[in-house]
Amino acid sequence: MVLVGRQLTIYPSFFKNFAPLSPIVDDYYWYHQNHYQLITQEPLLCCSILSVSCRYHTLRGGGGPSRNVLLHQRIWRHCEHLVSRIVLGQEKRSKAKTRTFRSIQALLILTEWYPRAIHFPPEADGWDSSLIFLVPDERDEPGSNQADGAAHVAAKWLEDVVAPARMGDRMSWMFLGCAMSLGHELGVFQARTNDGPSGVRRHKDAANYPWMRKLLYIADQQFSARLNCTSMIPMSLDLSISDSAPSDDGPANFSSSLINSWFGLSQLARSISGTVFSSTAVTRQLLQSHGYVNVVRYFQQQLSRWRESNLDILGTLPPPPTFYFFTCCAS
Amino acid sequence: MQASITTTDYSFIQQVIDGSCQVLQGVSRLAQSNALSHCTVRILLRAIAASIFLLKALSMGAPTTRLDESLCTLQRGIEALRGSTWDDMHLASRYAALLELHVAHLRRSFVAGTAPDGIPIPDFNNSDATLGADGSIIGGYGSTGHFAGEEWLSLPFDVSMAPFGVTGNESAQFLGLDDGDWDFLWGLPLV
Repeated sequence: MVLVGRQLTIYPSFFKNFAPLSPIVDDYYWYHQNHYQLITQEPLLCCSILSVSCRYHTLRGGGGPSRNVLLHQRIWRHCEHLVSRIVLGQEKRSKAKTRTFRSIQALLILTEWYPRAIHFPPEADGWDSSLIFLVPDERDEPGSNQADGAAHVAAKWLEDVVAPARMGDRMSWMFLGCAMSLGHELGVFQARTNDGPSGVRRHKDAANYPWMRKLLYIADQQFSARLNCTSMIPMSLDLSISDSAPSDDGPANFSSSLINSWFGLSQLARSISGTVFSSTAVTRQLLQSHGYVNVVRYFQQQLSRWRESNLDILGTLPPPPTFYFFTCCAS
Repeated sequence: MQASITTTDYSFIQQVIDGSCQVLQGVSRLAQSNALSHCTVRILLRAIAASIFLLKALSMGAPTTRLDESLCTLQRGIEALRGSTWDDMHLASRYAALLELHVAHLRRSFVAGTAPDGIPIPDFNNSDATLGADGSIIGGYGSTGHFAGEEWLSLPFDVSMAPFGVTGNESAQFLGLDDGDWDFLWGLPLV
C-alpha cells in the first residue's frame, strides 16, 4: 500500500489527534524519512493506523463519509488477514514481516479504537442461521453452548450497545493474547541480555521492551477486570515488569511518569479485584457480613495515597475509575 | 430497602454519585475541546460505566436538588457522547440515544419517600407534589424538567437494578460474576 492521495491526509491526522491520547504509539513513523520503512517492513502497523484514522476522520470532497466507510472496510479486511497470518504462524518472505515488535503496537492500537466491524456479523456468517442452531433442543446437553437470548435486556439495548461492546471486548482480549504471545516470542519479557529466545539477537527496538512490558501489564489488568478473566501475565514476570532502570524510559515523545503512574494504579486495581472479587463466595461474604466497610476504607486510603503522589505530576485528571467503582460495588 | 441503608453506606453512595458526575463532567469538557471524538474506547466505556453507576446510586434515593444536579450533569454527558462522532453506528451515539430515552422515563418514575435514619434531610416542600394512582406522593416534576421543592426521591426498588443477588437469598445468582462479564450493568428497565 502506498501513501498517496487520501491516505496522505488521514495518516498524519492519526499522529496529530489519536497518538497523544494513548501511550502505545511513539512518533517514530510520523517523520517522513521513516515512511518507507513503515510501508515496506511494518504492514500491520501501517494498516492499523490507517484503519483507525479512516473511521474517525472524514475525507474531504463529495461523499466523504461513504468513502470513509469503504476505505475503512477494505483496510480492516487486510488487517484481519495479517492478524490471521500471525495467529497461524505464517510469515511473509518479503520485507513486509508481521512477527515484529511494531505488530505488538498495532495489536494494542486495535484494542484502543474499535473497527466498524464489531457492529456487524462476519461476512461469512449465516451458515448456522437455521432454527436447529437457535432454538433449545432436548439433545442439547447441560453446560453446552446456548444461543444468545435477550430475556433480561431490551432488544434495542442488546443490538445497539451490549452485543457490539461484548464483541469488541472479546476481540480486544484475543488481540491482547496475540500481542502477549508475540512478545514472548520476540523476547520482550526477557531479562536484559543481548540474545532473545533461540539465540536470536535482540531487535533494535529492544530499548522499548521495558516500556512495552508495562503497557501489556496495564492492558492485561484492564481487560481481565472488564471480562472477569484471570490475568495472562504470570506472577513470575511481575518483577521483570516493575523493574525498570532510568535508561528504560522508552520513546521520548511520551511521559514515562505517566506510564509509571498508570502502572502503579493498575497494580492497585489488581489488588482490589483480588481482594474483593476473587470469587462469588468471597464477595457475598463481604457484603453480608458488612466486612466491605473496612476493606473499602483501606483501599480508599491506598487510592488517595496514589492520587497525592501522582496527580501533582500529571495535572488534573478525573478520579481513578476504580475509586468509585469499588465503593459502588460495596454499597 | 431504604431502612437497610446505614450512614456509612450513604456516604459511599454519595462518593459514587460525586465520582460519576466528575467523570461525566470530564467527558463534557473533552467534547468541548473536540477531543472526545478521538478518545479511546476505554474512555467511552468508563463514561458508560459512570452513567450507569450514577443511575443506580441515584435510584437508592437523594434529595431533590442533588438529584436534579446529577441528572443535568448526566444529560450534558449524553449530549457530549451523541455529538462526538459522525458515525451513526458508533457505540457512543447509539448508547447516548438509548440512555436519553431511559433517563426521560426514569425522571417520571421517582417517588417521594422517607430518608433513611441518620441521613441529614433538607426542609421538605410538597407544594408541587401530586398523588399517584396507587396513593403514593409523586415528586413535583414540572414542565421545566426540574424537580420542585426539596424532597427525598428514590426509585421503587427493582431487583433487576441491583448489581448483586438479593441479600439473604442463597438461591439468587450474582449477576455479572457468574456470567464472566458486566452483564449486570445492562440490567436496566425496559424503555
